[in-house]
Amino acid sequence: MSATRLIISLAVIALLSVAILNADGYQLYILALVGLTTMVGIGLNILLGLTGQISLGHVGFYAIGAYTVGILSTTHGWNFWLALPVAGLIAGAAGAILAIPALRIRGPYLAMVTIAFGFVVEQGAAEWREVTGGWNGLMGIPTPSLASLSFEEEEIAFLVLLLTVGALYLYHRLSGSPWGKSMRAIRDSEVAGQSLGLDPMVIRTTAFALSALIAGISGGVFASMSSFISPESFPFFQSILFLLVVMIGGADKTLGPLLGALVIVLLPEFLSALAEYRLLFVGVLLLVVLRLAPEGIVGLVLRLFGKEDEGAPPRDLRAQSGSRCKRPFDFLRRRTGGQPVFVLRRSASYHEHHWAERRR
Amino acid sequence: MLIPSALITGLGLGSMYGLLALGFYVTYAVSNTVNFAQGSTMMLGAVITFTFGVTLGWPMGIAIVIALAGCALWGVIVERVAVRPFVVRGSNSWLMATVALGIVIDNVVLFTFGKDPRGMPPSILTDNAFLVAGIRIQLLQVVIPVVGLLIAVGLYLLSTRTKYGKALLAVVQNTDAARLMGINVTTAIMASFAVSGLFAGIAGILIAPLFTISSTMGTLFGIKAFAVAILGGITNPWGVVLAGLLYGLAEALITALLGSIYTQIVTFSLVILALALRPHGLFGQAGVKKV
Repeated sequence: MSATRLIISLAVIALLSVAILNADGYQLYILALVGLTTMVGIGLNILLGLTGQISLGHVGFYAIGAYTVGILSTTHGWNFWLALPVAGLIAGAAGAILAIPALRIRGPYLAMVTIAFGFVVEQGAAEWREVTGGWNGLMGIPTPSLASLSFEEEEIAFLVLLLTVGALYLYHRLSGSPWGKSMRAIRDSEVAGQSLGLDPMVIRTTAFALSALIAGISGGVFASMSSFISPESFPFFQSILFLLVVMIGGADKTLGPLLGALVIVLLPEFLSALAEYRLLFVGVLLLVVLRLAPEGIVGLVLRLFGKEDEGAPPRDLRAQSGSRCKRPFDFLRRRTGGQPVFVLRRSASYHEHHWAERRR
Repeated sequence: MLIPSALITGLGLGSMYGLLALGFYVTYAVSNTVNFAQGSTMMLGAVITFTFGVTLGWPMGIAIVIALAGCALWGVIVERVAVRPFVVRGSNSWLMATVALGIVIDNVVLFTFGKDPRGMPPSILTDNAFLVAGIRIQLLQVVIPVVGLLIAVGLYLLSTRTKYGKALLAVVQNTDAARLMGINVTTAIMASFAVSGLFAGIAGILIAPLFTISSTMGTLFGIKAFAVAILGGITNPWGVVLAGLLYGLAEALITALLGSIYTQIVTFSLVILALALRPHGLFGQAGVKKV
């Protein structure tokens, strides 16, 4: 991370802290919701942005995290700080298990498996009454406390801020690491990735588990923050919204989920005068964004300022690939120092060729 | 007594899942895309029929024709607005775009049709019932699977016996070759979306008397139909129809034997399990991976 970026990030965090200190209870709730949604979005970005796998059932992991914290801290009287990591781990394990059927399937098939997963979790929460409270839900989930300090809205908002910044940093590091690059390689061409010695099974399972873990932690905080959860808190539609967060913000962009969450969570608040029509607005907005800004808000901004796409290969290599290489996998580069890293990209000419083909 | 009547209900619902899933099949085979919000199209069919046939009091036959034309037109609109712009760009975002368009139409219907769910008035189909071996069967319960099957057979005949059907099949097999043979691929894709909308409309009209009509009636139904299409191996029309019947029967049997609370948990778990064991669906074939 460059010095300028670090300074900007710290300034934004400071600004948000000031906002939290000056916000009222409802505003704090909304701010925290933006943070939690951002976290789920970051997790989903690992799956969708880095490995190119779709999930229309992420609300399932969110719900697993929420119910874990809810059940452990009410029925079993666990401490929140102990319950939260457990929530993350259980959700992560669920993600790893779901990765097994998801490994061999793509596109609409994967969408179906994840949709089914979301429904199974929602219905399971509704019907496992002895443990989850059924449709009545779980009430009186205690807020976290640290030493003698019991967390109010403000402290929870700071906790969410901390977790969100942590998740953003994690994504930033992962995105630039050999792991992140391997994930992109598998996304762009599984066969080529395999031929470089990457194991798609390990990489996909890791992405699923990590993605679910972050969603689970976010859900755990949500349970504690709202003190009441029921299956109705986790409808299928929420999974669509999570996916929109990533797509509107920009898939495979570090800040994408943050901007997406701001739009998805805050837009209904600004449109509250039009309360009834806000879903209509969300639908239309999504269509417009998908049409006009296919790389999301972050992608659009980067394009307007002529900046490099963070997922794209360095400029020198791209220039070279445009002129000479006609093959889909135009270069393999090995970076020396540390673990060998393979960068794999389809050339611009390949894409252009395909577009021309489709346009005809 | 419980199980035979469950089987009849299951067969009826199953053939509707199959019909809706055929709508997924038609567009997927021709263009590799689907209208993910197929359930909304189904809802549209029921709502238009109700509006013209009951609210405005027009003859039911005319109302049904208007509804079917509306659904086919909606299919074309979906293709133009939410599918083609993304396919041209080489993007997969058509999936979310069709979801978005589904949200839009659901809400438009919510504001124009109203929030209260409404029921179809009794008709010849629901009033007439007969007893077979002690089980009461409504005429509608017989009509639904028969219509479903007739449409499947009709689609088969249409696609193998007529010029237009053969043109569609040609596009399915090889888009570029079909284009070179003078087949208008763009029109073929548009036609497939119209047919897909038509199927959804028929399904909506047929199941309307069984359920209440509201803007959200299609959501879960559409998802189940998508599960059916995937299980059937989306590129195999007979597999899709068969998967629909199996899904309907499984659902009805689980409800009858275990109770309705387990229906969705068990059926959706079965979907995951089936796809874990057979990644290309129960009746699908593995596609050739091109490197």
